[in-house]
Amino acid sequence: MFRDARSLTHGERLRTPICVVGAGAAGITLARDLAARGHEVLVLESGGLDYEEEVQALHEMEMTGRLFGPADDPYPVTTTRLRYFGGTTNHWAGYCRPLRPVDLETRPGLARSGWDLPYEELARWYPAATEVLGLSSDRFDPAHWAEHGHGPPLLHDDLVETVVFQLSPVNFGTRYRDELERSEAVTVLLHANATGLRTDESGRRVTEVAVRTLEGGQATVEAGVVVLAMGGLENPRLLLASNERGGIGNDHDLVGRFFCEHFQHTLGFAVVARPPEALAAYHRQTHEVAGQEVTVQSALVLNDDVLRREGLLGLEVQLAVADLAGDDVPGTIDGPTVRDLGAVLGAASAEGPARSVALCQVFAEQELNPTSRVLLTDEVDALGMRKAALHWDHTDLDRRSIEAGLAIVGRALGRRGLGRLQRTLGNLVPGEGEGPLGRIDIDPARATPDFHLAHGNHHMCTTRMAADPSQGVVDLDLRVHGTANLYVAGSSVFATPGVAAPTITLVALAARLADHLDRELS
Amino acid sequence: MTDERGLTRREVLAALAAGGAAALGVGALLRARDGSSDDDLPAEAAGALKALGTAVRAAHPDLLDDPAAVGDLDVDDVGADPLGALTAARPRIEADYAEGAVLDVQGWVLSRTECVIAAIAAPA
Repeated sequence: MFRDARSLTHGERLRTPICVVGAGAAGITLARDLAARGHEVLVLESGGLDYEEEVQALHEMEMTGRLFGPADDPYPVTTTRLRYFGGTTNHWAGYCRPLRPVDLETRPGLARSGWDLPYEELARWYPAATEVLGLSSDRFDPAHWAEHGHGPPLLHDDLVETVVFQLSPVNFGTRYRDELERSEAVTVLLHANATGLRTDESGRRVTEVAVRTLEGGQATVEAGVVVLAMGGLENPRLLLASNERGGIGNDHDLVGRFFCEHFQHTLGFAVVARPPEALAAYHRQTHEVAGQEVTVQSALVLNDDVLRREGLLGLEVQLAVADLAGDDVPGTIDGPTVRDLGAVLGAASAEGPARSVALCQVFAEQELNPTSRVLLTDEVDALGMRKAALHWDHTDLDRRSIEAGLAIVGRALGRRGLGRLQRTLGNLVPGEGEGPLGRIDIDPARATPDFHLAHGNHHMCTTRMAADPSQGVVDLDLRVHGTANLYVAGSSVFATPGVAAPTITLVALAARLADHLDRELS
Repeated sequence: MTDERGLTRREVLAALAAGGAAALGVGALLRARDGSSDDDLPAEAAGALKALGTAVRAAHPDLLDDPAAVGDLDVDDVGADPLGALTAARPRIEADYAEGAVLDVQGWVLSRTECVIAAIAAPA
């Protein structure tokens, strides 16, 4: 059922066995799963059922670091997260791809790499996530999707592999609204902002969640178990804001540290000796699978052995393809053009001259950097809660991995005579063409080693999972170290970010947490 | 569009790349069509190679002085027929990519061998 905190009596006390803070992908997954197992759950949601400007403004935060765009378009953490029922899935693109085993490995040369959670244990929960996300299959490999008519991979070898995304059609706010509205086990309390956690004298058991409304109302939730599911920025904020001793679960000064994003930017072009239609798999394609329409899209990733051998962070490349003979071709201000390289390829390769040009949209993993972190400022928001600040930086390894990773994609194309790749690191300037690719020119003189990196709006690792309390905020059951009944769900628990979009993994981990809580409480 | 032998312009270029121009015959090459004039095709590729070579020379001015890069390429032979040299060097070019013997030329990730050939093709 839905209730509204604005209708509570001032100072009202609510009691629940399980309190989930946040009704986004993780919180809704948890609530549904626990209810299906017979548990009563109270979900606190800051917003209502639709977007509200004053609620959204509670996301405002100070930002510092080197990664932000121009002053009039800084890292948009206020607008890209959504603060109402369904959370950010109210406007997500739906990209789903599980992490791969290599993403969870401890890799040589990468500090703090590796998850203490075995991959097999994570993978066990992907089928459940697949169902929650309305996907048709838990298969993400090109061979499987070729059986359903998806086009062949351009590259799939020991340098560069092709992976397949499925696009989830599920907006949690609309898909699960009726179910939760009808539920007797789940109460969703709207406009209920969790502003603090109170513990018993030992400091190890959370006893209450302080709730406020923007209208000045106050309430208290007494809960047997509390799960924070507010996203990678708000989860650490609430932990840090919850006591005078530096925050709950913060004995090792780790809460909020290691903030990671997925860099996302156009950083290259490839000329390819295949017609655009042969690369159709790298655009969104809809196929019918068992009577259901499924949208999938291929992308390139570095081979696992390459990542291990070269000590690189993960890289994924999505392609936007145009006909090289058409008008939608990026220009070059000085030097050889993409058409020049396409023609040269015709002599240098048995595959013949290039027929396509592909814009390379890069998604890149970050290394864990302790100085990239969520902190509290002395300024307070409309609820009287201390505002968060984000310091976000990138490292030499972050940049080197992108440069080296793109070079490996270029080598993979060249090795098979399939094409040539240009890294356009900081070189892009407005072009004159009409199409999306043709609006871009490349100015070699503007190449910069400190090229601008945009972002995927994925906030990860700020309450990372580790068996050792000195290395992470939550244990392998997602319980906050040093507490008895406080858990965290969402991508903030990722031990490392990997390079896949995080939603399917955070939903899988939420399903696993529901199973754990069910066993604990039963 | 194809000629009477079913050859497109691109197929002819592909055949040229495979060293098959002689087998096809110059007549077939000149008959190939896809909307542009016949005989500007090699010129287009040659011009592109020169443009690339100019960029290679700017980015790597000492490349042609590097014996490891030049290897057994004959500068005179390459200069006389750079496109033919490029085609003949195809296995070596692909080996460069496989082994990581690549250079950065205005962001392009290019085989060292094709860079050498392009540099020779371009006016000093």
